[in-house]
Amino acid sequence: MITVENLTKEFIIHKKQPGLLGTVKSLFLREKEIKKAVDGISFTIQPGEMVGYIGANGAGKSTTIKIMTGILNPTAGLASVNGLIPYEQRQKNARQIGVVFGQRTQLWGDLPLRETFSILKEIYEVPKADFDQRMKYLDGVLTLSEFITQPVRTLSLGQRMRADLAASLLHNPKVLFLDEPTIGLDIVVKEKVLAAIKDINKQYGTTVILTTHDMADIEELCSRIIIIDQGKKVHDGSLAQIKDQYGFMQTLVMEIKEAEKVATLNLAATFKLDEEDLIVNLEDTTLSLRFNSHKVKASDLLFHVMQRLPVIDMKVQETNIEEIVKGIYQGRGL
Amino acid sequence: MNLRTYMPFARSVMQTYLSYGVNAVVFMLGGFLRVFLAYYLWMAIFDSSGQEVLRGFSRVEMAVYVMMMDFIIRLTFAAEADGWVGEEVRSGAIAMNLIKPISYTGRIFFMSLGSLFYEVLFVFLPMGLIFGWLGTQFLGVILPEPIQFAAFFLSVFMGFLILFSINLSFGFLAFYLKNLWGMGNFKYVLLTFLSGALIPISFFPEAFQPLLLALPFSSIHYTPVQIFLGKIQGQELLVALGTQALWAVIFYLGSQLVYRGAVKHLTVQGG
Repeated sequence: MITVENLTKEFIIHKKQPGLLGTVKSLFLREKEIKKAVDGISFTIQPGEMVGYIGANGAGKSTTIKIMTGILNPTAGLASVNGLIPYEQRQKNARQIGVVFGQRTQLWGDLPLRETFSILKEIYEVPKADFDQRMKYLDGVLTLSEFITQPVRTLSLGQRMRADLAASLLHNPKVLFLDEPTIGLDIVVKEKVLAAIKDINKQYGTTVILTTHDMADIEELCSRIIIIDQGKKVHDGSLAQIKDQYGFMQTLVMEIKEAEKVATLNLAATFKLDEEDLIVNLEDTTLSLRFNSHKVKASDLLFHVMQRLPVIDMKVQETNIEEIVKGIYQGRGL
Repeated sequence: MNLRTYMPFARSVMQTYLSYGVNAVVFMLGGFLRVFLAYYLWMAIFDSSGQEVLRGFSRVEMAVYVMMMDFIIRLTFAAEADGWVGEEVRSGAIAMNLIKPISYTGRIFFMSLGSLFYEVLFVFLPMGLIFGWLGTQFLGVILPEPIQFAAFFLSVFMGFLILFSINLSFGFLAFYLKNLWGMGNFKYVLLTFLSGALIPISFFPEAFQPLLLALPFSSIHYTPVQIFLGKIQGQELLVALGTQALWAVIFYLGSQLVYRGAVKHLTVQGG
């Protein structure tokens, strides 16, 4: 179980003035600025959960991950992973977690991948039988054998990411931290990586904490998401919950004829909708109705329109998670 | 510390060096050239001075000094911790190593050991045989007793340990000394000068010699070569080895302090 309580991390930033003179000046006079990267975040994650940890660039996602993996000390608050304080018991904690930082590799570059894996086997003291079984499994889900004899520095980004993921899983960690594990991957590799993560969670009950900018990853994997913004937690709940809470606005788009009759529809009056619950937009022959799905059904709206105008084509668009998150980042909600 | 956990790092460095096979041959040729150059330079000095013993060194002893010092420099500088640490601190890769359940400095130490093994097996042994043959056949060099050989190896290893701690500390300072390469060169020149690796310490002005012998640097290079030459024996030998061990411990403790400071800075400031 992972517990984070009131976690706060401040960085001191030394301001540099521009130009040569500024550089010389800042040698003697340094202006300090304190930046709160993480600002009083609390949450609890149960064993076996898959949690999406999302936020805009610079929101403090990676900083939180780094504290939970023991790379950073918090300024205040507490983090504990299965009863261990990561930044105090770094090596002990390292044995029970697996980490992938998408932007960086944790593999040793000069060696063939196979060697790297056997080094990790020794480091984590994985028994030979377990190691062989794991390698077989990981090769199955990540198809490592294609490039296992190559030195790490010659691997492509997709291969490297699969290798990194395999490396983080060799010792069967209880908790897996993934910081942007799909960054820069093509669709085929991405699917492979996502499927592997899903399978590992199912097979071994591994707790997974995932940060990403790709909402499709989250929808594919996570039942729960935590959204942070400017170091503060702004949402914590299930995917369905967040959609219900922020994604109730849907859009009904119709191709119509006789567009001049739109003015006679009187939709707001008919369905007793307020201004914010219905937004009508007409562009040439495309009529789009953005409506509150808690107050009115798409089918009722469609039926009403069809009785008065010829409708050639129609579709209903839900607000996707991407838009919801964008709305939250921009601080307005949807 | 579990040996099985750390040996792979030593092995991996050896493998990396072995994979640059041609490089090793070029390096070896460079070593021969350096030694011959230094040898003929010193012989010219002997010739022009008209003396057979200069500052306590005979011609034969000087030949041995030149050859052995080249080995000692290579063997001790196998502790190239500054390069690895400096690179990892600057690139931030050090963080990737902090998430592994191993001691960071322990890993770097074993990497240095790998480098040392490589030097011993693929440089010292083949070149040593060639030099030993040339020396005993043509220059009248008499090889030291086995016990002296053993003391010599122990002494070189202590020099390696001292230099490892110095280089390790230096690597962590990479973050502050942005241009490490320039600093690294400066360190190398200063160190080989002060340690008696370039010129035997007995060739320095009389007033300087006690100072140089009191500094830790002579323990890295000068002590081993003096042991090999049989200039340090009996009780003195024990004192010399004890002094080396003392410096090794002092620098080890110093490097651990620097390491703690660096990791603290890293974990507080994020690098």
